[in-house]
Amino acid sequence: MSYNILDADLSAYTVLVADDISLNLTMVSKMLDLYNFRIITASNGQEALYRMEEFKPALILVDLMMPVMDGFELISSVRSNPDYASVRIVVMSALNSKASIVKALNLGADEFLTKPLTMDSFYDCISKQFELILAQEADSKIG
Amino acid sequence: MQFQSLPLLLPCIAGFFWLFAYIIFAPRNDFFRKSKRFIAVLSLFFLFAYLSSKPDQFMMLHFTLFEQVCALSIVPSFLSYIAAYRNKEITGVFFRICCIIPLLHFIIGVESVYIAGYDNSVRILQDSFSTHGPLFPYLDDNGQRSFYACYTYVFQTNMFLNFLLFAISFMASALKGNFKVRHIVRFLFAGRKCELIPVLYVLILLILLTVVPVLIIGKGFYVGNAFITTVACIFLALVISLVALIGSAGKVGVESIGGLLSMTRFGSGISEFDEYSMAGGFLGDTDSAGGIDEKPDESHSKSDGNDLTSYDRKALLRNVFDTDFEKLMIGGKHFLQRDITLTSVADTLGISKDELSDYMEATYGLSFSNYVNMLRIDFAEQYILDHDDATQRDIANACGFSGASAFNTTFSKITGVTPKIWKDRYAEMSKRKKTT
Repeated sequence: MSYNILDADLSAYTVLVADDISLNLTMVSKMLDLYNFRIITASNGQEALYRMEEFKPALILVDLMMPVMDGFELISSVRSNPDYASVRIVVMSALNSKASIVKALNLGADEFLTKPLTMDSFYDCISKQFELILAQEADSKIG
Repeated sequence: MQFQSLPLLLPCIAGFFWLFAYIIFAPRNDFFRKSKRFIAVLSLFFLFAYLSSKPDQFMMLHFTLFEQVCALSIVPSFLSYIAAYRNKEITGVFFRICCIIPLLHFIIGVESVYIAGYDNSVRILQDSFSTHGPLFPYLDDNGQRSFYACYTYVFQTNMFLNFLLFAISFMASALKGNFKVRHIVRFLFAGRKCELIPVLYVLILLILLTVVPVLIIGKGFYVGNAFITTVACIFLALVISLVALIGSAGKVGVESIGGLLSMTRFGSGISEFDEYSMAGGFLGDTDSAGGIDEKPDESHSKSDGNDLTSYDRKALLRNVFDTDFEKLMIGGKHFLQRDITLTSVADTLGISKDELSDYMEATYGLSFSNYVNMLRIDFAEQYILDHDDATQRDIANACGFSGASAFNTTFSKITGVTPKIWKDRYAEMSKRKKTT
């Protein structure tokens, strides 16, 4: 288990959390407070896309059940846009049926977190995603 | 007359610089973060020293060096107030309102110079400086009455403002976080929540320290007063520290002592958690070894008195509370129990409900009831999909709600839609999924 990412300077990065339930947004934002990246929120998929244009997040945390545009649609839209090819997508959902998980991953999600979130799985996931983001960036610089 | 200041002057100046260093380094520095009790004790010291060093109300003829230093204590008290804000103990709106205080202070100062006239003010200050040195504007009554009166006003206002800031800081720390205006009422009437008894202790001590010396020693009490104040403050600091020491070692569970301990905590839930998790030492700042031992090996290199990184905070959070808390709530599906309360969970975990409540706020940013409701709704969503023919009553029962209406209300409140609409929306989403 690696948490070294917590020591890294991530202030240049933005993380978008998309969830229609404000309590979830509050909780996830609070849990993400431990990292020093910028956190922005959106209450549906459409809003998330608008905010992505503006803030260019490196990682997005997506709920599946959202009004206007749901999580599946959001993942499809993000993955179909070449500008967002490097954006990592983590799904957080209470819908933990196999079908939902497989569908989300097939559409291009990088990881699926089942709600209720636990500290362990949540921080593991975020740390892992950022390790990959940093590694990806280092590779592209060398390249 | 001058030497009355000396016993208190140095600690005051030292305290000033300490607080200044604290405000700069506190947010990310282990040592400062864990010395919040010391800051609180120091604040008490300032308060007592300030109030008790004043000559009696009818003899405001002397502005001594010490009093000037105390007048300057508005700065550290304001700084400590900012620290409380940065630790998220005080809300932004209230903070902004209180930002007016130093501005007001400045305006009053300017006003006093205006009333006396600039030339007069400069002359008075120059005379004072040449006679007594800087920070010692000894005044006489030779035609400078208006300036003097206004200066007295400044001084009294300063005392009031200082007291206000300290009061806010104390209330914020006694309530342990997220201080809002409405909490003043809660502070006064909360009973067990924030412990009135220690507040009464402080008030009684305040009276003892300020009134009794005057009564006993009379008007020539300056020297004695300063001496008594010093001794009393040191004694008080020792008592509070001792209580904090015992409390943080978890050996004393008496409510009133817990309350007194809570008053000496200047920090967010996380730092209170630090104190809870450590064996603790005098003022909690030098004995951080107890806490470090509990952390995983990797953190050692980063925790030797330097920055308390977010990693350390997380390690602390994880190691002491989370495992048990999440194991109980999520792993053990404790949230499905209908009679679950903050007290019952706190009892199961062997901590106080205040500690649990602070922990919830610091970790999840949610109250206990919101957190439980959220877990229940998450559970309900999957349950609704898995049990197509379940009635709302069945769902409510399965998810720990007291009845269908409670479930319906909570579900609607949290998700923004009724369970039925939610289910329809899911069906629509699934349909869309298939067609795409």
